[in-house]
Amino acid sequence: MAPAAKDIQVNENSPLFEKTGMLHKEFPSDFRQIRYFTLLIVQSAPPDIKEINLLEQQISEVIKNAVKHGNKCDPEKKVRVWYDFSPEHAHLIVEDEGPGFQDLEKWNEFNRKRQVLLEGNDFEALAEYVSFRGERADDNDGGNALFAALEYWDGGFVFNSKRNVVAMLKRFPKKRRGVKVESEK
Amino acid sequence: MWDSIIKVLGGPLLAKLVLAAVLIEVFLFLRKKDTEGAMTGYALVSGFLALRDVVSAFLPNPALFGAGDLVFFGLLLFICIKPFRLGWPFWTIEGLGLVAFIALVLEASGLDLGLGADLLRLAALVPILGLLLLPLLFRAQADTTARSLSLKTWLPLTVGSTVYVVAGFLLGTGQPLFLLLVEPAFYGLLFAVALIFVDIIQGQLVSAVDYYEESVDSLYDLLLSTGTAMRSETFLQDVVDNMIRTVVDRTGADGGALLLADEFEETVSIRAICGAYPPPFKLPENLPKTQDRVVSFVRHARFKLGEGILGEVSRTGKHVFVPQAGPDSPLPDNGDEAWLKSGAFIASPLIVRDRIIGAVSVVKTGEGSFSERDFDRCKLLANFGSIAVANSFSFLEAAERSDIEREADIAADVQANLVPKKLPEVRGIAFGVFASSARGVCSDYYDVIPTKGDKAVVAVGDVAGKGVAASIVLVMVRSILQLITASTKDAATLLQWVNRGITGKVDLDHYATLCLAAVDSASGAVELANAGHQPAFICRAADGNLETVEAKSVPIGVERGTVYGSTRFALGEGDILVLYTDGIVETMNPQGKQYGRKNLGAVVQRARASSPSQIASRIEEDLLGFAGQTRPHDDRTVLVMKRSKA
Repeated sequence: MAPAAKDIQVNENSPLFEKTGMLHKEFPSDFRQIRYFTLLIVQSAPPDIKEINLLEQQISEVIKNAVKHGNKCDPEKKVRVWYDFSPEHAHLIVEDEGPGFQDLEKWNEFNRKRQVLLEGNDFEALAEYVSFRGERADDNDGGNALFAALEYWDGGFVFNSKRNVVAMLKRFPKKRRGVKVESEK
Repeated sequence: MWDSIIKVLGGPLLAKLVLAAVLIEVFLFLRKKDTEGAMTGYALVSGFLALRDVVSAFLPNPALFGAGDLVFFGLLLFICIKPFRLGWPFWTIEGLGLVAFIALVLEASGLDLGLGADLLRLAALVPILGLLLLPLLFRAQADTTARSLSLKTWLPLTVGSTVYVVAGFLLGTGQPLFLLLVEPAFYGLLFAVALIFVDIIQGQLVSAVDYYEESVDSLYDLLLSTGTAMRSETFLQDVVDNMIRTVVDRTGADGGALLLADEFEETVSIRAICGAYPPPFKLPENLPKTQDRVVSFVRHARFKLGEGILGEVSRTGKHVFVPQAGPDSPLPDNGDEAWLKSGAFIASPLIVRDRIIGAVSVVKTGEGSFSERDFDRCKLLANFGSIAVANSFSFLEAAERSDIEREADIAADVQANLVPKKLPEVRGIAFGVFASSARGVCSDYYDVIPTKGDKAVVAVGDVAGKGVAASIVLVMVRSILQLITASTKDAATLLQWVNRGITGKVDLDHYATLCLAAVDSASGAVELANAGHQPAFICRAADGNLETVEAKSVPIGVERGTVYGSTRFALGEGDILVLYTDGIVETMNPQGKQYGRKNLGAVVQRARASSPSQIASRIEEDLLGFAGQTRPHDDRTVLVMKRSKA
């Protein structure tokens, strides 16, 4: 049986929205500066995090979504980011001033079908599900960023009820040296 | 009565008792080196012999003497057979001896059975003949000290005892020849047993010394091969390669493999292979049975903990020893090809403290076999080798940490060399600065560059990113600034030049906020240009009023053609201009609240009558008090300038 596809969740009360102790920055919705904003955020990540480039890429994608799809690149609208890093986790909350991600359910449905086709090796039908494109998508949207985000943010990827704030958590596995000897039962 | 005592003491009894006492002492001494009880047994039979001689001296009855002999030889047989299995042949012989013993006791008590006491005494030969069973039944079992002793003494004991019994029968036990020659010689036979025991112990010691010498040699090889590997760059691989080579060599195996526990999953993987190593696990059915494909598969094999024999060793930490191929072997059958057939097999876990970090396994192909010594050697090398592997892990982690620390040090050094050691004197303007680097970040920059007359350009910047990458951008910004500030261009143009100099020139992230203030101290005129930097603020001397100088702009590095504007204003006498980086206003307190511009402005207002360096110190005190034990996550810089009398 195919494993259940991961969904983007909507849960106003998710503990991932707890901002206490998190660093905070806000940026204008300037698409040209997304890389700069990302660097400012990742700057506080500890050097122990090994896949820092992947983390940067994923943070850049969510900020890009907020600037482009949330605030429609309106320079008067802000993107607010709360973030907290340790060698074991990366926690991020991104808020825009847009109307919210209205296609969320459609996206989840699209993802579920895509997953079923993928598990069933139905590559012909899968061609129709390569990328999700909302009504307002343009040619620069790959349509795949959210699939990767859902895989990457393994501690959760949750929207608030208005769907203009998304909180996410990534857990970094701790390196182990060896296995504890099992005691005799 | 006294006559009889004197007569007995005048005979050989005393000498025999002295001999018996010495024998007992010798056996009791040797008991310290004997863990199996044979020496205790010989001490007891020596004591019994002495008792028998004392009784016979006072009660010279041939039948009683014969009964004593029978008991003595029965005990001797028990001592010799006990290290092996006491089966029915032994109990049959001892049963026959018991029947003869009863007959002799009856004879001794005066009952005539018509067999004759002398003939009955030959029954002592029954347990002696039992000694002949030893080499027949237990020849190949000299694997303990007591068994070796039995197998080495059965022949002299059989021959000596037979001579003793037959001589007693032929000569009579009361004859001087028997008493003065045969009996003492028989005591000597027991001395021979003691000497053989000493010889066995000595042999074991020599063998143990040889074994430990070999073990020390193998450990030396292991430590040498794994220790010197640490010089190379790929040293972990070299350590495991050298280790498995040493284990294979020192156990006489045909091949072996070393596995390490994986870092993030509950699995172990083969990390090094040496020699011919037929897989001790079931190969997938669909794997082509060509030698290249199988070797390649084995070289990268991975097992869940508990999966297969190697996964089981890595889960339980228990050794596996298969001395030779056979129907009981737990190894799977992967096919008839000779290179797929495992023979003997040993697997030992690599354990450090209570953690299994991997396993080693060695094999012998075909009919080859491993001895207990090979198994012990493998265990020994696994024990010591696991320390070498664990040290390698520690070394790797230390090196990794050291790389991070070194980069942080380099970045800190670069930053420290870029900012002025001492702010230059500019007539009519006093400066104060508080700058603090966050470990590993080192991205803030400040400078005061005197230009012409009473003019200067003041710069405060913050590079996005951290470490050495940020330092490179810092160097570029400073170099360009130092070069262009001598020109007569305004601050906005200078900012544009810096931006053009940085943007698109190098293939690395090069974003930085930068605030430039061109100050004319004579007139108090200031032109302030800002590239995405925090808004500056002015604190007026007269009323402490705070004015924010804000300009919407993008940082340096976003677009090559960005045009920056500037704001012009004047500083009166005692007016203060404050430039700062985001690290100041975003400093968090333990409750997660940011310091903010409001707190910064309030400190400046309160301290506005002080010198700029005193104001900078007040800001530092207030900021550090606010942050408490919170770890700084960014560099913090604040530059305060105050117009004084020209």
